[in-house]
Amino acid sequence: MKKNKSIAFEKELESRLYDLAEAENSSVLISGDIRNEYLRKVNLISKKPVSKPILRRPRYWKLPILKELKMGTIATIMIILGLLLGGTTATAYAAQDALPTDTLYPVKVLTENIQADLTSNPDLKLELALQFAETRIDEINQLKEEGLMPPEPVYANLQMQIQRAIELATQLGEQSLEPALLQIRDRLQNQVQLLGEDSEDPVLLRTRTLLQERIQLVDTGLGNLNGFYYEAQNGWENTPLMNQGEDQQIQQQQQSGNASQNGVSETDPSETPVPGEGNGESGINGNPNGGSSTKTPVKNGTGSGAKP
Amino acid sequence: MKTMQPADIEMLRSAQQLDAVTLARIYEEYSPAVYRYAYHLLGSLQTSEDCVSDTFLGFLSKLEAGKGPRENIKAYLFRSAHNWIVDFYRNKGNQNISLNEDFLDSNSSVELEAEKRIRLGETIKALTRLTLEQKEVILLRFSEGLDIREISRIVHKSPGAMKALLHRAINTLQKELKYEEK
Repeated sequence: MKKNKSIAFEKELESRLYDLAEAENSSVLISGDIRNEYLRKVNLISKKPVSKPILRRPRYWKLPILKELKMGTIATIMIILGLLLGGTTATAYAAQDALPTDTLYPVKVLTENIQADLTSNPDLKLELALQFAETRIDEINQLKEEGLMPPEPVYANLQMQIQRAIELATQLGEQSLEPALLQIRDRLQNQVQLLGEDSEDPVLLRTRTLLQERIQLVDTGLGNLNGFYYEAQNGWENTPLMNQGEDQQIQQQQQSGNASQNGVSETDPSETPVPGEGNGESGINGNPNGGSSTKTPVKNGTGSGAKP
Repeated sequence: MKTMQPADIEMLRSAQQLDAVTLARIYEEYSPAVYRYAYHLLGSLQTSEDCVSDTFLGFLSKLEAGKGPRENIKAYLFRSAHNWIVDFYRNKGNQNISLNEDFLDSNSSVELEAEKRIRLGETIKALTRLTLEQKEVILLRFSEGLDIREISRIVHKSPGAMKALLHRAINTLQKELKYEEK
């Protein structure tokens, strides 16, 4: 009898400590500097080139959790979304793990956009944009693992989030521009490393190219901070790298390849906008009420020429 | 002792071969738990970050030198963090830093329902009644799910001493939480 009580209490204790860990995970984010330093060292000592792009973060890494950003904000967004969508708050929470193929994915992107809009601190806005970009890369990796081609809006959103981060960096003031650009470059370089060097894979190739283009742009900025700052103040429209660039060419090549091989075009970006981002070239404040449809991705090998 | 799962063996092998993706994944998977563990024992976010940083960078250095974990990566990381914390207290003259009970209030619990907040508050308060050693084994056993033998290796105590320590800690918590079986 006493033993039974003891076992029951141990279960109770386990449940309490689990709840505590959950609450703590939602409250505190270890400094990104520690992670960056660790990954830098990994890249230095690694003998084997990265070959398996299977980095999956635990769930709490997907929520943009920051010390300064009270979880109350996220909870409020969830409740509002729940009410707006006629569902429950649980639906909005559940959407946080959704992939672009899931019905709830638009809710996830909508939540991100609202969260970005509600954040007034420019440093936090920048951090959020980087985290959302990393989430897109996670999604691309996960879809690839499942043998699915990521839909176009995911790439467009990834591009937009990085662009947003760069724009935000230029709004932090001249003094903060360099450290902010260095931070963006670090984070993008880490992602490139984690994607691996499997150049045969079109999904990885495309994502890596997209990231490398942005790193190149950031490097340009770091090489000429004043010029970069000036350009930012006068609009980016004429900066080729801020537009589609090489990524667009690859995209076009892939699409024409698909069309000619199968007579079926890949997902058309114009048909499937990601909520809140318009056509991928929107400014800092995208329209959170944009379209919400997501097309089912094409299985590898059936439409993309990708390896199965 | 728990048998190692094939996935754990594969992860260990890849880590020993310095595979970058595996090493990155190890950080993503274990750093939050090591951070929480350190925080409960150190009571300071900044010091806990130092502990996590040194633990994981030290882990890489050991692997690079052909050393590091031979069995369980998670237990190895907790053992490193434990050693760091012991050194920290030794250098600081064994001052007793307790967990900041305002931690949850000040950071995140705005959205928690009242009942959950009370429950979390009770748990934190009960944990502060434990000695540092007791708190450590409770966290490793019930929060991280490690078995007695793994914990005894982490804290450098015999399994027998570990059981006794754990038993006393459970009794204290049971009283503190006024636990009555429903």
